[in-house]
Amino acid sequence: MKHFRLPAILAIALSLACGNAAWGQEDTRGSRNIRVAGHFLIDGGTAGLAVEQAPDRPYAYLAMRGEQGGFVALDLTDIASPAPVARWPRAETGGRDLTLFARQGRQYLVLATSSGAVVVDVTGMPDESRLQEAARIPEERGFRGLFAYRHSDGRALLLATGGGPVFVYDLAGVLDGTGGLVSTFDTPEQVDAATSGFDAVFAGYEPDSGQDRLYGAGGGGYYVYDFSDPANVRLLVSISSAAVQRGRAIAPTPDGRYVLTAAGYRTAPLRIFDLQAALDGDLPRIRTAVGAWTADWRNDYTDLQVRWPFLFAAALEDGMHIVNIRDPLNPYTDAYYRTTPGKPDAGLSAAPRGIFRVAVRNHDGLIVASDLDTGFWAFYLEAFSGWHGHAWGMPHMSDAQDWENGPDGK
Amino acid sequence: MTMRRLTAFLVLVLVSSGTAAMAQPAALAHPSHPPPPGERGSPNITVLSHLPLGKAGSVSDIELEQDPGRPYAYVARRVDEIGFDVIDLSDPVRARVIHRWRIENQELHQGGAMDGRYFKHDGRYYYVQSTQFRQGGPNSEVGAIVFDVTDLPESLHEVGRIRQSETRGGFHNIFVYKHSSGTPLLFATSGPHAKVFDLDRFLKGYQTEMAAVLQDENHALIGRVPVAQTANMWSRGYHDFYIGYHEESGQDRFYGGGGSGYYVYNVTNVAAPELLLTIVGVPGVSWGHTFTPSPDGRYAVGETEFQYQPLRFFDMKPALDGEVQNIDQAIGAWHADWKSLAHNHEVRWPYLFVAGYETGLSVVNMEDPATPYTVAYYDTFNGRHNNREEAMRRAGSPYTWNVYDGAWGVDVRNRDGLIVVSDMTTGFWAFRMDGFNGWHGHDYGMPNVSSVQNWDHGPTGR
Repeated sequence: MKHFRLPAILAIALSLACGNAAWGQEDTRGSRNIRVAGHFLIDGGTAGLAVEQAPDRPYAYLAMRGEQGGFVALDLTDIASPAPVARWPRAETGGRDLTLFARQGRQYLVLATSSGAVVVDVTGMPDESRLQEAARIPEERGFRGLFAYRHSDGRALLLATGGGPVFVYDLAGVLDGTGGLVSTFDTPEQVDAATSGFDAVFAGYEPDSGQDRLYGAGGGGYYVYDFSDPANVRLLVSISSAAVQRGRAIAPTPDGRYVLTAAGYRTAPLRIFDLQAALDGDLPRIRTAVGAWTADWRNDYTDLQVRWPFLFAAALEDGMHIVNIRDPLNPYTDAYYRTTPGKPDAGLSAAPRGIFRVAVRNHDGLIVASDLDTGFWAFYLEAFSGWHGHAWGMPHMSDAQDWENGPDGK
Repeated sequence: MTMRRLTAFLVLVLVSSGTAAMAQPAALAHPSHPPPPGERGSPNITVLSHLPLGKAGSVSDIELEQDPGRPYAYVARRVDEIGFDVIDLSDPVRARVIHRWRIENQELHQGGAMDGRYFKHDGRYYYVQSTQFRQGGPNSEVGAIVFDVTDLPESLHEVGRIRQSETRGGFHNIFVYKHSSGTPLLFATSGPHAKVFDLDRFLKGYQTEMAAVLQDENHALIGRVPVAQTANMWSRGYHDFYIGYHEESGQDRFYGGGGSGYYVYNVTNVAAPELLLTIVGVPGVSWGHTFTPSPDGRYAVGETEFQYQPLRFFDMKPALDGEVQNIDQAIGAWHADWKSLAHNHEVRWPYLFVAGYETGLSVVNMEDPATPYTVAYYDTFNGRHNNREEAMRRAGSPYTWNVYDGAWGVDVRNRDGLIVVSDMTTGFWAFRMDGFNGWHGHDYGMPNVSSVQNWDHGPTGR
């Protein structure tokens, strides 16, 4: 009897103490339905993130912030112990963003830097010695956002933004040294330098219209273009909300009807806009969100990935949140994990901390995230073991590209 | 130490540490709608009176007289019934409507009465009711109607109408201010300016019937405060403003919301306003609505009337010290409900009294403007927030427009701390907050500056 008495009493006391200590503070780092699959601390912090989609290529890449530059490659074969297998040499002045593409059986990574972008052949992963620079894309202003897109015309395109125009490159031309620049275009309503230009772009195929569409966030808000002819883009929709002087991020639902947006300042919720009226020609522009969501109204969001009916949001101090958007008018939090310990209360002008980018591996539902301070994280969401749009009655459209067959099998 | 003592000690230490953490104050949060039974308000708020005044959406702003012996509140009526109601608060728990003034030929007018302010001059009391009438009906050139209310509760009568034919559409907001020169002034939103009218000159223009007929409608117009021009102006005019005396500099200062944000002018010489600073380019703020400084003029609260927008708190010191010309970041923010938005507000340092549309009345402690927090609330609206079905029925849009319903205006009586609210749908409310029995700036180590004027002696006590 005595043998069990102390542990029992201590257990009660510890329970009370822990409960009380957490009262009014953070009581748990994650919801019950999220599981940390792996974590790898990277000194110096990370920003951009990409994960390979092919089942036989279990690799993730993280752009290194600030002075360190370049990127780190992790082997996720044992997801519980992500292993650093390659470190790309320091870039000119820091890695900013990165994206992946495949061409003619080879795998490539594009790293945005302050002087443009560098294309690295990563086919030989995990052997660091086999990584090699394949090409460079010079741009005086540098790039901050990259998106690699398999166009319905069969080309692998790179969309690059640096706060100014969108640069569209044919990656075949980039790799063969002919330059590859297809087009550039700026926001349609330039007023001054502060309000023009793009910060982020996304491209996706819309089967009903047969259009490739480009979704841009930047000066004045958000824009949707018909991108079927990348050399002659056509504006389809402008979204200008009075509370969004400059869009930070945009991601469409797989059917292209709704877009989810971030505004890039603290206190702005994620806004969901219904494009239907504008796409039908009933409204010249969209001004009012149909829905909104926030983890904490004081904070901000830096990255959005849609796997209908889920939105995966990089929520800085609030961590990684998974939001159910099946009813876009009433989105709600389905799961979360906070990588920043304690109650996030950063203040309006505090430097950002926490989850900066998030990505999803479609074949098995692995969720990966980069944290500005604590490196790489991997999660599994209960009952989410992979994603294919058709399984949800939607086009199979996300940021993950089908490099062999093209968008939606086209 | 025996095992039993060790155990007891550990229990004591662990429970004590937990209790200490619990004793820390927790932020007060508005309950979502519907609140639990009996919890429309925080325990420290007492409802003294509630008077439903009419059709939903028919009420706009509110004004409360300050002098002992004049227990009157004025509630503007914007649609359905156009004019204002006078409420007698002789017994605050039995408030009653004693007059209902309505404009002639109501059915012909397109628009309504908006903001109301009272003033005292030469021993008489006046109430100014701003109006906004569109050109499809009569009185589109009328911006305000001035009433002599000295003889309340028995009677009131119209003195005259302030007209501005060149900028029709009336005055959305007004502010009456006892200038340091001793002149009672009316500031009014009109076209691309805040127009300044000398109320003494206006009243003298109505002392004879012939004078009222013959006078130039600009005879009392003595100044125009412009909106500082910046790129990408969201609006060309002001939406609202506040004028207060700045003790340290000896300046009369104008704090305006509109344009692309917020603007502070020195209006000591109202004929030649001097721009002191701008607050534009703030993320999320493309337009300013209401803008109210702290009594010392260092901080200010800014509202921008869009859904999801919090109240923002700005530190103006870097601009007032000449280090920068423009402030482009808030230092703090506050929300009652992030899906809604706040509307008008009144500062009685360290408290901010907020009419928060669907969230009703909130009282916010802004002693540390970087971390404002709710100290009291009462849900005057008592309806669903962001009710899209109702919005579809009323406005033809299922989206967010229905958030503009509920508490419109708030005012505070400085001598005893009475708080009044006008709710667009539920009417007039009077409250008391525990521990707040009046306000004088000096009690808080601040200048005695608020929207309340010292009509007898002016802001300098002269």
